[in-house]
Amino acid sequence: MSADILIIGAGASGAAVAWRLSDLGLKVVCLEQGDFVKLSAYPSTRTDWEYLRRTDFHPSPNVRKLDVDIPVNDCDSPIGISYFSAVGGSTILYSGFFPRFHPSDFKTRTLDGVGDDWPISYKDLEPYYALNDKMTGVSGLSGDPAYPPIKQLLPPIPLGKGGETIAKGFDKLGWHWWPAYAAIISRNYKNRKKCVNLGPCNLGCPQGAKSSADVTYWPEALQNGVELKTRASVKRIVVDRDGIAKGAYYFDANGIERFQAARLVILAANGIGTPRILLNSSSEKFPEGLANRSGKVGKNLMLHPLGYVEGIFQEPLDFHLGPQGVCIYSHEFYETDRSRGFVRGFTMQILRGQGPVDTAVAGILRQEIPWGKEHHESFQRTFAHSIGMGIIVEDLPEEHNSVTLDSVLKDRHGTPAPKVTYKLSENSKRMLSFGVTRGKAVMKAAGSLRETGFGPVRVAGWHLMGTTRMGDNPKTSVVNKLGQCHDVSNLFVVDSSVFVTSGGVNPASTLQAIALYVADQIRQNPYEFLAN
Amino acid sequence: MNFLQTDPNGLAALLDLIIPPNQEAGIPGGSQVGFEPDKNAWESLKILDDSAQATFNKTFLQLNYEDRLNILSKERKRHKIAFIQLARLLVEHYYQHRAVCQALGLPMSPPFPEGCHVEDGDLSLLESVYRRGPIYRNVD
Repeated sequence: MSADILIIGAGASGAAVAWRLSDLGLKVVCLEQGDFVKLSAYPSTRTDWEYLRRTDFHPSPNVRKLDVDIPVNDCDSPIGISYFSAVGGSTILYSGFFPRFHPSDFKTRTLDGVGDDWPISYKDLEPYYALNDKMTGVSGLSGDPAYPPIKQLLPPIPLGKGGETIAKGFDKLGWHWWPAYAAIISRNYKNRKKCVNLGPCNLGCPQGAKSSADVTYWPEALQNGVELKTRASVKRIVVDRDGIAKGAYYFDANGIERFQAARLVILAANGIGTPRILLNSSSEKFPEGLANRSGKVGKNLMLHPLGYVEGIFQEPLDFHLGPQGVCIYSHEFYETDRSRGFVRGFTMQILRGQGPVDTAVAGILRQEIPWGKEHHESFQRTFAHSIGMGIIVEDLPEEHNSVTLDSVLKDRHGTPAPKVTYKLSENSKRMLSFGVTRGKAVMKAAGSLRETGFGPVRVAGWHLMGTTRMGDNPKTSVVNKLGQCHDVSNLFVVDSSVFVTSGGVNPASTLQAIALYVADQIRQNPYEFLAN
Repeated sequence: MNFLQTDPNGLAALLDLIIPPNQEAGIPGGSQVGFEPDKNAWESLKILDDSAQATFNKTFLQLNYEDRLNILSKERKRHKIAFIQLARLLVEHYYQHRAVCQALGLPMSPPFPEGCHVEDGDLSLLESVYRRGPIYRNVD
């Protein structure tokens, strides 16, 4: 059956746009390559939960190799690509750290002479950030001096002894810190039960307290009549002779190729999947890939290089307990200060300690927990005694960082897989080094016995941005300020592919706000965009 | 197949060198947790045995504790990847074993559904952060 609106991808952005368009009386169909993950199937329900991080719940599709996974050739990148294929997408495995962009992130060219200005501003997105927070259920604390006012938050996620310890370190240095914005509900919210501190949120939350898109937007979207087809892997989008999108070919759960007709198509397949589909949709009219007259599809990939710092403390902190990725954060070094030797900035994200297996493995690999007689004592001095810190570095857009189609690698249906080519910029290298040094300083100020740090972390390419960038000029961008492709009037993109710059924060909050914003542009006059 | 590839005692000696038992504390050694050796584990043992033969004209198992340690220390520098892989798989297995968890006081049940209690923490520590005022650039 033909749809009015076809959404490709049921992750963070696809879920938000599906919900927002679900009450217009239009037939909305969503194709998702993954499936629903039952809450009872999450690793935290099992004693061998840490083992599953190495297999079915590994961040990389190349390691998981589940039948719904599309492989990625990321050999030509120091940062491995991570994503999860399911209803809810990568929010199934995100830690739930949910900061917004800063107002300055939308004007990097004007303010700092780098990247490009966005055609939209923080003010334009502010109501959508707020709506997204309401739909998602976000915990935190109002009054943060790093942001314009953010209201209607649930109470913050508990700091724990480790959080308090590291907060004192920040205070000692006179640096900013704040309870993390968390897409985790600290109180019962909208038929969902509150967080009970299971710990490994980044393996999925069987409590349903982590606000992954399968438990936030999808229940209401489905109730409103959106048709969600799972295990539906899109091969290509089809356009007619006039360059109007007519729908998409996809493989269903049985591997049978089908066609879903639609009057409007919305791509929400992440910063790798979206350009892959566009490049796989080349035709006589679009020989270089659909909507790619600018040549920018797949270009300007941004990944957020990640540094990691760890401090080991004398006293047990029991910091392996509680939501792993959300505790406190710092934006002390977020805004540009050229005296630091780089432009733009980064987030310091405090991470709770690891479980026993991850503690031992990391200790063995870094040779901090020795083999032999010292092993047990060293393990016990480390486990529950550590505080981690992620250094999330703003990545600037560079054309040579790209997603193309691999000439050899294919998915299980024979459709070309993506190839990522990415090089760390000098600016990012300097920022990583600066951030790791400052991270160690915080650990020391908080009383750590020893500090280690390194970057970029290899398996950390979760934030996939910039590959169908937004802009006013059709020669230098793929979509306009409405999210509409310059070249195809009834084709929209709502995921983080449209990011013009990356900010120095996790992108989930911003990409969902953008999805809601784009949906509202369509809502205002849907028939202007729907093809006949 | 080389006889060493089926020598469980040699392998047990190697696993206990990596994670030794602590009988006083009731902590099992690496050989006592049902670790299933893969091809790399057997190959690592063969490296040690060849080295022991070349140096002492004995098998690895026939060496005393100090000589085993010396051989392991020498060969793990020369065959880093193989030995790191063995140690990584061993600790992954070891720290999920019930007897180890029990001995070390580690949780023996899955995180769900119980979860755990975490202290809220002292938010009055934010006083100095508040006092400093806004640190973002307001550009709109």
